[in-house]
Amino acid sequence: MKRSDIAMNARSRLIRLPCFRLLFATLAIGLLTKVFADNLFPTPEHRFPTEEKRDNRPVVGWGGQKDDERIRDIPHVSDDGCHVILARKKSQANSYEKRLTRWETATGQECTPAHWNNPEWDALMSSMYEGRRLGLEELLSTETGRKFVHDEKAWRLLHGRLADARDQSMLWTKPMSEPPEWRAKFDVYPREMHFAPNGRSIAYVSRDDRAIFPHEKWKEADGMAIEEIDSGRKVAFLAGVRNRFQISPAGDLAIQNIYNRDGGRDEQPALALWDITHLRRVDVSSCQTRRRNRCFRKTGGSCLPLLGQTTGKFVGPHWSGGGIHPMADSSAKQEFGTIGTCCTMIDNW
Amino acid sequence: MFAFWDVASGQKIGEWDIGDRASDLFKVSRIVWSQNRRYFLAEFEKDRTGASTQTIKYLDDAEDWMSRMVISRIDTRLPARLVVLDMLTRRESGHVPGYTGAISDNGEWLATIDEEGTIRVWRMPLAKPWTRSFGYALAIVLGACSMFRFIRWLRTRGALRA
Repeated sequence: MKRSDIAMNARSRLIRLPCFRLLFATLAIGLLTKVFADNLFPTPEHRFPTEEKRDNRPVVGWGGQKDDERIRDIPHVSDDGCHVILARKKSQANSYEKRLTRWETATGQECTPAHWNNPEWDALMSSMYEGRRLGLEELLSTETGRKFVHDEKAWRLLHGRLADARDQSMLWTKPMSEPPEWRAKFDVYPREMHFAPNGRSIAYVSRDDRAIFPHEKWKEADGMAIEEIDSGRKVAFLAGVRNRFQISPAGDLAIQNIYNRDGGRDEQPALALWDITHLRRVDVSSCQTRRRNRCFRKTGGSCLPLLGQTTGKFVGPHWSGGGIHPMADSSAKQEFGTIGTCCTMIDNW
Repeated sequence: MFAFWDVASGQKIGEWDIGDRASDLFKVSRIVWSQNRRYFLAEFEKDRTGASTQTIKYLDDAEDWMSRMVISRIDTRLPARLVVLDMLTRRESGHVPGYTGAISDNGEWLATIDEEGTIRVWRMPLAKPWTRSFGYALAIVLGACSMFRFIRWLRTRGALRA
């Protein structure tokens, strides 16, 4: 081989090899970047630790429920991303206690309003007896509801008014025995009390325009009173309604579970839809849903009794703004009921 | 697979196949909508029932063995995850760590909590971590180059000694 050829080969090797390596390295970087970008988690704006570790013990116990199970949930994050509300639920055999905490995302500091630490406030979130579901969590789903939840003054006003009413009712019907100490914080609230999600009114059972409290007999109630939170003014009274009902976010409709309708033990439970504005019952429908498996659309008045996870059946009517659309049984809905383990309601597709 | 239904008519209006996100190890425990209905957050939990879709015996056996040997050891650390779907573009917006979360009413923020109790807040829509990914890729390629150079140097040194 000539000396000039050897020199040329060496030169071409010198040029080609780095070029090839550079090209290979660039391609590898590009490919790896794509792979990482597709699989790595995005970088969060804020990140902070809390003491709310999840209980990962295996599910044991009656009904698959763990004793002392601790569940965390985030019910709300503010529109500016600055605050997060965290719910901590401590379950026991047949009751639970729930506590809300508020966190500042930029600093990671807890900024829970002072009144959220009151035992009476805790009672609102708990189900120590009678399986109370007072609807406080639903307050977080609306703007006005959140305003009430954060307003300590409004809360104190409502609590004071209810405590006065309870004291007055004690004069009428003195309890046979002193309630246990642990129950004292629950006794402030009238029976079957429920907050409207808009935070403007509460509903409770009453008799002769007087709230029925836990030391009184539930059967003495003759109807459901709806009271404005701010003023304490009674805005509606639905005669004959004694089961707690769930008020729609708009505050104009309510859905009520009726058990053992007309006193018949073998009868199917039913759902009744009430028009609060016009004080009339819009419809009653037999259904197999449990109390929890129903929901109102957040932005409107539509109500859909959802399918039960246990039965897997999609049952009940779909109510929309007073109009009723009975759900005819179909193979499609059966499929939905069988496959779906969770579902939600959306406004538009 | 997510199915969407029109509750008024009872008609199915669409399906969303989420592919390998729904593996045997995970199941969808809850779905959350943003108030503006743009984002759809699916919470994936570890499936404790252990349901398998494999039907070939040897594959099942192999999977069981792998589960016992590998997965059972890491199962407690296997993170739950949340998948965000964008209804506007009908595409997956991204996935984030955590077992539950919430989207702000205006749809601009996502907050999640993971098993260790760490809260993370993301701005929506979720952006892919290109900078971080590029950094990792660069580090790997440079590391590989350095390793090859080191090996070559060792071989050259060995050859010289010989």
